[in-house]
Amino acid sequence: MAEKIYRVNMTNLTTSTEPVPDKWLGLGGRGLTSTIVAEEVEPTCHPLGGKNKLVVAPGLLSGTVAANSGRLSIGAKSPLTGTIKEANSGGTAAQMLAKLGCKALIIEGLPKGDAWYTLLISEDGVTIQEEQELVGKGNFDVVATIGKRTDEKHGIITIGPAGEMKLSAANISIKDPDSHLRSSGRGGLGAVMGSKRVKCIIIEPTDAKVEIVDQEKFTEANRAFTKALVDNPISQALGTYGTNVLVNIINEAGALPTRNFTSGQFDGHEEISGETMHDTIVERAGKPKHNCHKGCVIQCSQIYNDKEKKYKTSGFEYESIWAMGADCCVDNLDHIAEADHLMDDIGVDSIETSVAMGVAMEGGLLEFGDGEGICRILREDVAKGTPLGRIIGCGAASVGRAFGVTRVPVVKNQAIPAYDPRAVKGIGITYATSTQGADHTMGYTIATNILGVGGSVDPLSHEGQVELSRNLQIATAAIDSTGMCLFIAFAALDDEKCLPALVDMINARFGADLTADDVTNLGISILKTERAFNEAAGFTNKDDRLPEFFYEEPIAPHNVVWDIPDEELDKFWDF
Amino acid sequence: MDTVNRMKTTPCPTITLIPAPGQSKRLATLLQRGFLIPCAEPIPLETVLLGLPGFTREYIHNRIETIFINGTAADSLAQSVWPGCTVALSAAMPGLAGAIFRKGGPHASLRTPPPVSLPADHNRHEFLTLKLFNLVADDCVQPLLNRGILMRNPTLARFFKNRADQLPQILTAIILNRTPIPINRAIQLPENQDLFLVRTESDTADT
Repeated sequence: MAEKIYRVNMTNLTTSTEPVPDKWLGLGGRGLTSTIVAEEVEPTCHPLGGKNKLVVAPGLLSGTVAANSGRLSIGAKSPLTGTIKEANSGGTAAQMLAKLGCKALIIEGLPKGDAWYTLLISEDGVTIQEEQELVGKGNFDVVATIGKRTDEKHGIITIGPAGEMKLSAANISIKDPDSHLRSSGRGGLGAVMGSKRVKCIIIEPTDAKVEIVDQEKFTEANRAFTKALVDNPISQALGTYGTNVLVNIINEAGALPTRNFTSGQFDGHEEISGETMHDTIVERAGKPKHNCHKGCVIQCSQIYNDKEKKYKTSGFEYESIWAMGADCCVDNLDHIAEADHLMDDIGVDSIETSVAMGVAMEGGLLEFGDGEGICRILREDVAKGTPLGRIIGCGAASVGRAFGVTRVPVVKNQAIPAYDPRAVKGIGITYATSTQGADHTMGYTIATNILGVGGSVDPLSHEGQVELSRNLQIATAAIDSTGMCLFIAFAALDDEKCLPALVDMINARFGADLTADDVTNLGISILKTERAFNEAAGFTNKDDRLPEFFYEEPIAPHNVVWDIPDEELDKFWDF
Repeated sequence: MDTVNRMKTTPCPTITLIPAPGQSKRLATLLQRGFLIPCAEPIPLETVLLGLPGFTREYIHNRIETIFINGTAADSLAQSVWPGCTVALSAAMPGLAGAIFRKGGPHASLRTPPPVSLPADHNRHEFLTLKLFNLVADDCVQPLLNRGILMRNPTLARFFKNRADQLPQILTAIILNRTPIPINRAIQLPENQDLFLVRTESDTADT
């Protein structure tokens, strides 16, 4: 099926289908969402106003049988950071949109009235339907209701009450193969969808297939690629313990932010570790291993059941468990799982909201460790949109301002995730310089040497660390355009055949002749496009900084502070 | 009287855990907070590990990808450990942080520079603490517990408390020296004992 651009104008409630412009043909995922936002969105516009656009794009390999290629990118100007934003997620939507030939879905404008709408995407294009039944419902109820209205095979992209309330931490949820949820979590993109009064996007299944120019070459490359993923020892750890395997490690390194970033170790780490979680899941007849999209061979997700052995949450990630656990000093996995479930249902980012809770605890809202209190506030305040709930649902910086707390761990207004930058300074460089606020996935552990972006400066110098962070961010931007899960990175580090096989698959898919240099150039182009948007929106190098408490407060146990000089950070963009 | 001095004068009591059939691997989380290994002086980590059951040279070099010594990532098994230090071992880990901390990892330069290592007071101690995480703990729990490991009272008590719901499925009996301890939500360890030898009865059905 030929690829096309679906455009939805919510101001006059019209839709159109457009051919893909030549300049967008080689783009997908984050590369495409950021390019479209940069081209079509006024950088200084209000993120919740009529000039912002929400762009949904599968990756270059989405819809094919390539292993781990089910990520969906969603982009816009972020209401949380004010920067350009892309958040990606697993689930079934990326593969379904790609099979329908949807290169990108662009939602623009604002409707005039108070009505809510559902978008239906099918082989015939997009239709807009007024929506009443789903309004006000949590995400799980939305998925269940649509399942009854259509069938279980439809893809769903939805916002919860947080998106409807346009809270800055609102996420966008994607239905996974088991009718549970995955989240495009960061940056408040759910608020952008809510501002356009689109409650959900329903995707019809199709028998159509994505065109592969050279099937034989594609199959061969996918075989090598899949083998590299399956054989990698990290895949085994992820498939057993999930990403939460990191709790013990990061705690041991003294880099597990605890008690609103006042310590690097959490005494209750054992109670919330991946190892403990694994045993709990097995004990309760859950699934330690589970895929968030078809074709995932790593299966780092899991099904976590409650004490009655009933489903509680899935995709129970390290960053969420750290944030609600160590950062809020909650050492009870069941309380954290309940909070995770509530946040998924309300539709808020589990990193942003949990870090906001930690800031609120420092501000005296609750005692640190009060997991039941957190769940109560999520249920009674955030979900219902009370004034307190809206403050928390707008993120950590919002809470810091409301409660007069100065220890607010954010960069460009976005909460810093689960690795303290004082204890792992290289990650701090990425938090500071990222085009999208603090985000641990912006500079992933890509095999930069294979992509030809290896560093040339002494890696142990500050300058060398900045250079390596830049190279990782360039490589990550390129991978984010393919539709691939970032966890392919581990295999790429250890197996020199992995990344070339990925490039071979892209070439076979499109009949192209890309080299690793082309992939690197794509990453460079994406970063520069995003940076230019931010500069036009008013951001400067002074925004590429960590909060001052990181410079002033040593973190235990290593008693280190953040000491990368500003002038070194400023060199990040010298390329 | 501190723990070490009491050790010298008091026999170490034995806690024998008898796993239910097929359940002994579920004791792996017992190792995540650490057990004690006698250590009289600085010694290469590899030498310590090769003295433990289940740790062959091949296993150590292939499986153990992440090493922390007193919270600082280490790149070599030849690095010295000393009395009083804490060593943590893990298989290869995900994420940028996993790559940064990985033994000899390509992104090790992104670490925060390590603090000073050998403390002046190491001669006061007689043990080092070894924590085993994730797949390493899973691999080694059976041979280690079959031979027996030294654990401090608070560590063991915390494990029993946190696993109270699961213990009835995992264990058929807990025996202190020759006296069975009821497996319930409030397993009591003698408060006057700081150190125990913890072992399982050979459970060949599991292996």
